[in-house]
Amino acid sequence: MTELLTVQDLVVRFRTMGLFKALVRGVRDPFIDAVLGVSFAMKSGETFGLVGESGSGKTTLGRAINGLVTAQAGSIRFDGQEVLDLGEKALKPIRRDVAMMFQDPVASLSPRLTVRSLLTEPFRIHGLHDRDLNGEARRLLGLVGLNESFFGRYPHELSGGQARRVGVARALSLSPKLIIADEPTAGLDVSVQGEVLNLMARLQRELGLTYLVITHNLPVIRHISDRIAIMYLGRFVETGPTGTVFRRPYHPYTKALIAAVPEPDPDRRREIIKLTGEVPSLAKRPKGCEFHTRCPFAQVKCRTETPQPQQMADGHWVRCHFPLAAPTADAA
Amino acid sequence: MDSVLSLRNLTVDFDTPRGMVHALRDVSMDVPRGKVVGIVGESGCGKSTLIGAAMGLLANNAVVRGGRALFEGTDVLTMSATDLRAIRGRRIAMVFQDPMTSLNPVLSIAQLMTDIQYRDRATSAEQKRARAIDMLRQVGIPDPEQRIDHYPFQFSGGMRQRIAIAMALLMNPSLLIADEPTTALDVTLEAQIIALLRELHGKFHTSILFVSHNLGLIAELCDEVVVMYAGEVVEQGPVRALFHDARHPYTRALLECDPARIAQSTRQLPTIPGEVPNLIHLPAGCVFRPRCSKAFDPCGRNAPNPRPVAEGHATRCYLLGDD
Repeated sequence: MTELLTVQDLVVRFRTMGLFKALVRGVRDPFIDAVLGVSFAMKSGETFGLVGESGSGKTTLGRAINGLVTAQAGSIRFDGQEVLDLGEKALKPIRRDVAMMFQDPVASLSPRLTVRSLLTEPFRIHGLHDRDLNGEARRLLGLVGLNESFFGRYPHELSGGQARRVGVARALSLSPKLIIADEPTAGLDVSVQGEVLNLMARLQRELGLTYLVITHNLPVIRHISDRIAIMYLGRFVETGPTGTVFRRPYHPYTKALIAAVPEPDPDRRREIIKLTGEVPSLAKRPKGCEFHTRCPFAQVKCRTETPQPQQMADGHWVRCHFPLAAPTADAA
Repeated sequence: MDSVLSLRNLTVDFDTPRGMVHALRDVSMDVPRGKVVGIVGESGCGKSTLIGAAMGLLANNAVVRGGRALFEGTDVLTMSATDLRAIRGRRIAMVFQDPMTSLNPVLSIAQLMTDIQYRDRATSAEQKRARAIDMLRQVGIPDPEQRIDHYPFQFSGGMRQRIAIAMALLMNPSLLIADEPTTALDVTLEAQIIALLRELHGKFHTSILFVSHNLGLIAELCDEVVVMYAGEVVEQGPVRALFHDARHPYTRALLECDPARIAQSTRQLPTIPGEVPNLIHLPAGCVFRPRCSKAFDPCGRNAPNPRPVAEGHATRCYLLGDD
């Protein structure tokens, strides 16, 4: 299998204040690094999960791949082509191949467009005037299990699950190779959540799609992804095959995240790794290992030396001086 | 049994331009003193209406068709506005979903926390401040003497929710209503807040009505569980009975759908086919029948009444026998 997407040492910086304000306040570096030195590759047809808490940079990374935010350094190769330095115009054909599913299913659809217009808009944007737009819209609705009766409806007339389906149909409109799905199940009830995920799995099988799924929902990502990356403060702290990351996490943060998910069983008391405090500000990255301020196993070395990514026996990459060895009790 | 809150056959409609929305139908449930009761259900099942009724906070277009909402023996639905104000915040306190918007942004934490104590005339302003600082310390706000003069925007989400809990517990209420208190938080913070609630419950023995759609949190925190669907209580009972011996097909389906309960990794997740019924035009018979895999003859005739399964465990389903 070939690599569809290769990301190398990607850095996305945001300016936090204007030049003048920075000068007045004496801030020498008025930037934050939302994504810092991220590298990974995705094979065609796989599902890669990006997991992290709010502010970890997972959404920014997804948007950078699609060129919605500009990365400052590194490289993004899609289908063998470098896309990082492309201008808006040159990016346009790439965006036919890389589709987005945005976070909020209802808010990401324009409230003033009908479902039909929403589904045909991508064709108009990309100048595909020769297509039979009604036919395309019908085909797309069919793919996601809806029908023509939805043509005249506006987003507010859809339920959350239906809006999500329209979002999926819109993402599929230009037959993309890669779909970046940002929190595809957020805000949906559990009974509907399964429907959307099953739909995405079916479309992946039928159309050979590749998914980059961004989420904070660990129980969901465990089922739907082949590999995952755990992000903390804009860096990957651990990556690996989903099954083994859940069974045998090496990074204390990964383990703490998994342990923080409540067990839906009143008789199973979970093994809690207590993470004290909250995620530090990106403007004040801790020295050494950036997780040491919350890590229950932090030692002197962690406060001074930045750990480099190291490869473990089972194909994990982990950024930690003292990777955990023992498997977790929850060996599902 | 001594109950802090007990709802009896509560039926509430909302008068809307599109017709009567039958939001709650024949809801009966109890929050026993000192217990944590969880309400679980999907969007539109009536969780918020139930809370509104319990606090006497129903919208203007709400029509109470019948039933009572007894708080420590008095019906809040017939209470005067003055009497209601006397119990809200003092006897019944609430923690809302979104800690970003539930605190007034233009008042300092000190001001917010003194304001709640306005009825307490015997205490001086210094004492009120001291009490607030003490409560902030108990919920784990570091350095509360200084932090109390800060404004909500100067705190992170997790800290704000801790402050909201401190405010709710300040007057030592007999009932704390927590409406999805961790939905807006990340998992590691969620775990911290749940641990905090459990610790405070152990300390103050406040009865808690905990509303959530997260089965994991319900399992972790609650003694008893009420399962709601489309405005009805379909099943209620002790937490173990609900998770290990659920009788209503909806409860079972809900448990099956939770990806956290599926041990084997799968791409084909279980779902509940169909949609929640329209609350204006309800289906005849059992409200879950259109989506129920076990539906049979009697389900289409009348809505089933609750029937006992075991001590304290009841469900509305014909599978447990005819009416």
